[in-house]
Amino acid sequence: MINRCLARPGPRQRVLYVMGLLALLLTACSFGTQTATPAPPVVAAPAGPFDGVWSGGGRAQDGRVITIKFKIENGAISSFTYSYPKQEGSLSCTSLDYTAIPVAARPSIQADAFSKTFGSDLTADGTFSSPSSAAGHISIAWQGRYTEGCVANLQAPWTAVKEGQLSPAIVAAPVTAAWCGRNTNCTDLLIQLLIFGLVNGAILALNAIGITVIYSTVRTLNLAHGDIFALTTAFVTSTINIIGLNLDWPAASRVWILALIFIGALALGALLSVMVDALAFRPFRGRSRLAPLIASLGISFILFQGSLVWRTYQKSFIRGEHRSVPGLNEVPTDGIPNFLPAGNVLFSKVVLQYSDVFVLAAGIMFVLITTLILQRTPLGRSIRAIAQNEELAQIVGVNRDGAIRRAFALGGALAGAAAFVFALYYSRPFGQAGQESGLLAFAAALMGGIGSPSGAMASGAILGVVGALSDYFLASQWTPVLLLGLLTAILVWRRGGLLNHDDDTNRSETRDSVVLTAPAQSQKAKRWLIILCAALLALPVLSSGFKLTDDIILRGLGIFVLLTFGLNILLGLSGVLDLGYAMNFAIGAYTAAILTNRYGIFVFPPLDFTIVLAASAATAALFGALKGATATRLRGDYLAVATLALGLLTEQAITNGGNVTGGSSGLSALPPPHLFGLTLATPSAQYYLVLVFVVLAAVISARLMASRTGRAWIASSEDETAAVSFGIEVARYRLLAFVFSSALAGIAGALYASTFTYIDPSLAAFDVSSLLLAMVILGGAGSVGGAVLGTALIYFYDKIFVPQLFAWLALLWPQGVYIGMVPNVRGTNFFDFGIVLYLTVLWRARRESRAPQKDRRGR
Amino acid sequence: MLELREVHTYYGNIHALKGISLNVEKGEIVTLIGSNGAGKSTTLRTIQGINRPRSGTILLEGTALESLPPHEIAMRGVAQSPEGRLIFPRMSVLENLEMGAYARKDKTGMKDDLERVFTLFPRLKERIGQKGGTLSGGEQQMLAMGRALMARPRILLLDEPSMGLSPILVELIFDTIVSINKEGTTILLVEQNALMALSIANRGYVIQTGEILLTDTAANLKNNEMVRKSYLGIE
Repeated sequence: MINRCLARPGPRQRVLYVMGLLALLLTACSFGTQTATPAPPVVAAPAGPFDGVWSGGGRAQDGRVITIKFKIENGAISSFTYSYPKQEGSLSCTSLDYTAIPVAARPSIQADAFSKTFGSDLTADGTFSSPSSAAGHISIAWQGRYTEGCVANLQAPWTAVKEGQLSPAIVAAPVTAAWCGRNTNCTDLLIQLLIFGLVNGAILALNAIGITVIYSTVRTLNLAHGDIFALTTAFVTSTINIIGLNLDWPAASRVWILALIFIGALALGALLSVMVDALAFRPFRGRSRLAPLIASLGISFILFQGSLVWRTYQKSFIRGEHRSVPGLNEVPTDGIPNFLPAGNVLFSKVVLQYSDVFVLAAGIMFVLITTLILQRTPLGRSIRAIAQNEELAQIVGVNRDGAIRRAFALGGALAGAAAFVFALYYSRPFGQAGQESGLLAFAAALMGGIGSPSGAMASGAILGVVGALSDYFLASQWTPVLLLGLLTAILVWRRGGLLNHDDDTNRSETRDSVVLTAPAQSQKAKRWLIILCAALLALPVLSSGFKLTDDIILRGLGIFVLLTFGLNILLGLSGVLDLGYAMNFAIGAYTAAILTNRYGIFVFPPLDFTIVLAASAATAALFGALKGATATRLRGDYLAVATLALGLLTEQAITNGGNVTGGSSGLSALPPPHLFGLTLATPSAQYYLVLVFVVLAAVISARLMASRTGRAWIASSEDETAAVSFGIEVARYRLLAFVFSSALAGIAGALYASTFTYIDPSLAAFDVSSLLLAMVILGGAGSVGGAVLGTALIYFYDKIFVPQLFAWLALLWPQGVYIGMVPNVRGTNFFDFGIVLYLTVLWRARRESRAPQKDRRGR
Repeated sequence: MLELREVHTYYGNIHALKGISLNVEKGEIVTLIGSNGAGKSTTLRTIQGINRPRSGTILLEGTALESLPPHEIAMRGVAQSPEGRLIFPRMSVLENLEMGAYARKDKTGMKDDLERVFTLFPRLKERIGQKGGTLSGGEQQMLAMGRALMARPRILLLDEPSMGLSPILVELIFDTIVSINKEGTTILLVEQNALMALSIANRGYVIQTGEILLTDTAANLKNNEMVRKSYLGIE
């Protein structure tokens, strides 16, 4: 799990993935001279008693039967394959190709046992009890993109017999024999899980340290931090590949070049981080805490696109990946040789690799160095002074902007260092969008107390161990749900962290609504809106060539407008930044889909759409209320982070929903809406259905804004303390805002599911939430017309302008002259959203700064 | 030494300082008295650069300060003990004092300065390793003043040093202000406790709703009818 937060191995790869990679480093290679390790002998062992073909298998924790087959030549394993059924039970998923393991990499059987990571997907160990029978463990981490249903993290005990001896029997281990499995020593298992957890925690902590330093000075989560890490990882791996550094190089030059690359990673991390400060934080300094959060989100998307482009350019993709997929949602990998020494430190079945020790030592070292810098140097002193009391720090002569810039540089350098360690450790590191990656690191930083590197390390370790235990004893795909839930709980209950207390008393809550909201709209604008509505109403009638495609685009726009209305109530009226708003949309869509899909209970007679709508709205509102109950305990950026975590949690829970939600492939062939005995199957009927709801929602939104409730929302977003003193129950009104906006999202979800007939978990994705956020901010939060305008601009840009641009470019692109491919403008949507988010926030803040400045002390 | 000419400062649309002019000569204690919200603290914040004046000039020994950022003003020898005994809560007493010397270019003699602060405030020496946030109110005020002294300032801005302290502590603090001044530090003292302030100052300014109402020697102000009535509470 933890590993995923730093990189994206795939939707459901967790700590087990780490387990798979852990022993990858066993492969014969070492750092310079061989240390006094029980390293596998380079010379192949003589023919052993176990030589031959072995087959067998076991049962994984989710009940699937795994079959394995391996071949032993000259006392070493020369091939190893596995297979298991897909999630639906059909066909088989098979291993990556380990049928011809190079002699040097073959694990030899020593003391009647072996342990080996064969590749990113497979780790196995075993003990031979007789010349013809063996038993052990296998862990499989499959993240193939085009083998739907194979994605899995499996662990299983196995037994096998040598072929030709006895009939091959798959002896499935009893699923619930003992709490740690039949063939395992419980103490060993616990120690092993502890080690996995600590190593993962150390990597998590490496990023958390950087985050905690930066957060302590700017008090706003830097969502781009994880992207700096991802980009620097790409830099490290591709530099190694470009230089062509490998294990054939002399040990001394290997060390020197790696040291240089390390320095490069530090420098790049620091540079990028300082750029993030200059672009996303400095323009808003002293004025808003939410604006830089959104700006850093924009920068995060841009940087993510950067690492996508970088790796595309590097053409480094893992097997099974296709590189001509537009909008590719994951960063392919760059494999590098294993430079870390191999071998097990402990003389037992428990595996503690030298590389694990390296990661743990690196983690502890960075904590010590950072603590030393913070405590002993003038630089650290200025950072701490700014963190504890910004104004006083300036009075004693600390250059605020300079100190914050240096904090960003330090944090970025730490991200660079983390990236270097990460790349070396995994040797096939994955990059990932930074918001998610930063999130758990942020959880660790919060838990450990802001500004405390050792606290970050300790809580990173705790989170890592919790993740490892959950992976083993629960199910790995639920680990992220557990950890994200844990993050939310930490946010709610321990605002100040576990080890340190965070006093925020010297900072006033700045009025973000001022930066983010639009000015009141004029009568003229309202008239234009009515004309627009009339035009939209008449559109299908007037245009005889009303095609299905137009309908889809307009219907999609309508649904997005409904969503922005809902988000508008949260952000524009009650001043709540919800970064997981798409979760309510997905819940509504799934409610409708589960009620109406062809395997459901209400197939005949078809359920009336009013009931579907009501159910969707109610379910979404219920979850909205739950979210609201959590959120009303929090303020500002803590609230934003909690909603982000809940959104990710929902996406993961839907993915894990099995047959009910259709898992990662979603639910398809949903029936069209069935309203009062009519089936609305034609495009124009569905168009009108959506339009009716858009108009209805617009009217209700406008009414709400002018109502007593609306004024209470505005009052509590402008100045919470003042609102409370007027007798406004801020928490209750916020909850109401959540319920209302979630119900609206639920209706939008039901409309989406019924008219688009296909849904999958990506409806709840963070991308959707941030796209909606961009739409609301572009139009100006707090205005109905603005919401429509912002949505239309971004939606048309995405759905019409970009495909058109691509078509034109393809038409105009000179043929024959080689100047490269037609630029894939469709593949740059992360960049587009990022730049839209960023520029919009900047533009709104600039406009605000031209107006007379508010007293930021709130006095 | 320090001169303000027609300084106007705004908080948003609120005109907080409406053309403040004052000057402090070398070696003086000058006090700025006035009621709540008159603009006393804003004047100090404006001198320090925390609030930017919209117009007017601030000169420190001929150098214009009004366009400099706060840390550069601190480096030019302006130290402040701000209102509400601002200290760094999670730094120890010693670290807080060391932070006071942050802006100083030459760090020689820091040990002597520490000794001087500890002589003035022996209590701080007893608490040397304790976190600033755990000190009592009076101790925090001492720490704030001590920290300002560590800058070896050319001019020391003191904002309400007596606020919220017991009468005994107020006496002690004011005695200390006098002895700091005797050692050669120029002081601009902002106080609500006008009587105490006027009894140690050389000169005083009376500020009301952002404007200087009158200025005179401390002795004269003490006998001024209006001052006696409005600020000293003597009929």
